[in-house]
Amino acid sequence: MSPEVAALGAGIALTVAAQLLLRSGASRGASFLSSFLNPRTAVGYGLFLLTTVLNVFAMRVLDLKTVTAWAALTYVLTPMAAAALLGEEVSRRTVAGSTLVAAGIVVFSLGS
Amino acid sequence: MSDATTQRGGGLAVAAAVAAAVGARAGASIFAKTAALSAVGGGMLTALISPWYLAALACLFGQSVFWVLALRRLPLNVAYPFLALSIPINLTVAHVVFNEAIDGWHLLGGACIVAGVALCRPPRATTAPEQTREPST
Repeated sequence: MSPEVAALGAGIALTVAAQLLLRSGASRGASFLSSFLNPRTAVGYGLFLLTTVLNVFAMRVLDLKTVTAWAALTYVLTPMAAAALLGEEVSRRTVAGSTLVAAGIVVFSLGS
Repeated sequence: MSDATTQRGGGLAVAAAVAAAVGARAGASIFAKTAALSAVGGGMLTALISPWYLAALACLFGQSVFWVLALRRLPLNVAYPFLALSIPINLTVAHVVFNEAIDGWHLLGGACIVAGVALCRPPRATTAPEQTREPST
């Protein structure tokens, strides 16, 4: 595995963790400012900053469309993690939609 | 102002916040790619001090503001799939701006993603902030 591919994988994992922290922080504040300044929100965005560095590193070799397609795995992993770790109820529509998004990613990746 | 009008206004505000977050996310990827291209032949530092990387960070900041606004109203599993709309946006920009080749698979995949996101649209009643339990990690 090349360092660029490893950076892409790490970016995907950190993105999911960051989204969980953002939702957790956003749902706590009584006002927008208190949500935005919540420590969980801050840590979530810190992880995003790290992800941008990893993505720039990965895109020195990989195409934008390739990075975008693989990073789209987060659209499947994040709802699953939100249900497992935040206790969110996931509707059938969301399951169907996420499955379709995942299928779209697979189809997208078939392109040259 | 009636409850229905207030609810509709709240729904529009959430939709606008999600749309702005999607646009900023797409912009961040596009500027990051531009920064990476500007550093070809140079080191990572060349990319990270590039104005394009700073533009990508500015987009991410914009996304952060709008995304927190959206997540105050929507559960993560409902809101997050909408960010996938940045893929067909990036696909278009990758082709038009960066001359990256796209084919039928990319177009079909993009269409599936858009259809999937459409399925994930939030129920009309989901406008109030929700409580979540502590992450177990």
